[in-house]
Amino acid sequence: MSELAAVLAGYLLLVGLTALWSRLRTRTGDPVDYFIASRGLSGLVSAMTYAATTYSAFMMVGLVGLSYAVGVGALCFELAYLVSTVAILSTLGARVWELSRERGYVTPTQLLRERHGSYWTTVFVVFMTALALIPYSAVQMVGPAVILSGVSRGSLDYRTAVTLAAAVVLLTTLAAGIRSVAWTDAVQGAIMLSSATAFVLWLALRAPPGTAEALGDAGLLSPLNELWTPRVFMAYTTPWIFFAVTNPQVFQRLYLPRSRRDYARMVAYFSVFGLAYTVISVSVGLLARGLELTGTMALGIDLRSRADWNRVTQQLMVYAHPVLSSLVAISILAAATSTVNSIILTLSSMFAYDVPVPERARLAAGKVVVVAFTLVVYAFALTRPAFVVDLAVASSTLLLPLLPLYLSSVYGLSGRIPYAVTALTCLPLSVYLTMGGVEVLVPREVLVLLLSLGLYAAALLVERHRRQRWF
Amino acid sequence: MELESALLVLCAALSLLLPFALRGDRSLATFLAYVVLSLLAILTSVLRLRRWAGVE
Repeated sequence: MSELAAVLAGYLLLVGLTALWSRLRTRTGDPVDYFIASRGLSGLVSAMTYAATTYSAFMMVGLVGLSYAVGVGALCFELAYLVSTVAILSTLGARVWELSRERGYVTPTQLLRERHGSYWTTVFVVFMTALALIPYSAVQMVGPAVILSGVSRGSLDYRTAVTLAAAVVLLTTLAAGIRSVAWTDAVQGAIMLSSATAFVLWLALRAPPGTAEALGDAGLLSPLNELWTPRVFMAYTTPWIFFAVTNPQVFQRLYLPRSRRDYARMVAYFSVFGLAYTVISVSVGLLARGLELTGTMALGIDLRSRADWNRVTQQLMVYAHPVLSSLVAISILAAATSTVNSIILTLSSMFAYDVPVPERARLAAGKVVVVAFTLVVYAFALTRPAFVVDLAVASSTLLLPLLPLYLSSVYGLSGRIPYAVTALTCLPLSVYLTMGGVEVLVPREVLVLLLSLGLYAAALLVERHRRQRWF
Repeated sequence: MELESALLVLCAALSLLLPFALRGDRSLATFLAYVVLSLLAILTSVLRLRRWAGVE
């Protein structure tokens, strides 16, 4: 416990000082500065906040467990996400950066509202986005809370750990808005990567000869096997390959770099971070399984229980030095809080700009929403929502109908009627299909994607045809 | 479409198709193939964005 207390105190001091320092650089009272740092961040800080926002507690908890259970297929899923994100950032993302400067956008939904020209549909989109991201944010709190309470051997109970995470989220968000979020994200990203590197090196040094052969014989080096079927692969991967477009907390980060050169640097640094962190997280899971198969460690994971997969990291920590396990636990807390604070700040900016709020009250309204959403996420996290990966993927599925809306607004295919029809039909439908557990021939995620794209395209064709007839 | 954009789209498509092509692999080929594919995507995106940013 003393090691954990020391590491935790050091972490809180570092994050607190960074948040206070960033407050000194803020233009108080300016909502554009509060929400997007007046579009003035460097490439490195933009990259670190992008990475820390997109890579959450899922990586060292959910992905490690997934790699342990299904093998290298987990790498295919996570690197498919990275490759698609890099492709999106290099093409659509660059255009979004230009548009945000030309048109002065602060929030992602401002782009939708202005390009499609429907105010009330945008209000609906803002509320649906919040509905999708609350469970995702709550899930982020569960992993670190369980691990912190495990590493402390119960001295730090689950409720206290969740309270601590919520306090970090509030501190880093309210101190100076995006400036404190981005700078603490940069510090937390460094903690995440360095601790994960130390953890995987420790595991690799314990691996006996023949570990890779044992994994191969167990079918864990095949990208598809009886647990990771083509259907499961498509279901997990489909929402994630479009994450950079459909999730507003990462979309808004495209507005932050101060120049084209900084935007290019952001993408390059983020990509390198993403590749390293993904390979490390998957390697931790694969090595853990290899060590178990060769009889070096006994982790006691029940492969039939998907909830049990989340315990892999926690069980590995039993074998690690207390300082190393404390560092990894804190890195998971850093990954979670750096994701949640970004989500909450982005949602607050959408409520301040895209629902009826007087212009001079935008900043105050945004801060009220920050506190309100943190409390909602905190309350939801206390209920210990189920399996981390499934809930995270479900949240992304709920946002999939936003894909045609953003794509069309960026590439000049916008239309008020297609926007309204797709948003008002497909967003509730995705909630029904995801939450109702409806079984269909193709994975739900693929169905939501195809329906949204098809409906938008059909409505756009009808709208353009009618316009041609009238004029 | 310019060469870099086409390559990036190809990388993204390959990342979805590779698991079907490498099905049944018992070596580290899948692991290495994905790392190489990611590196290729990163390199291509860096080249494309450097040109876009005016850094040749």
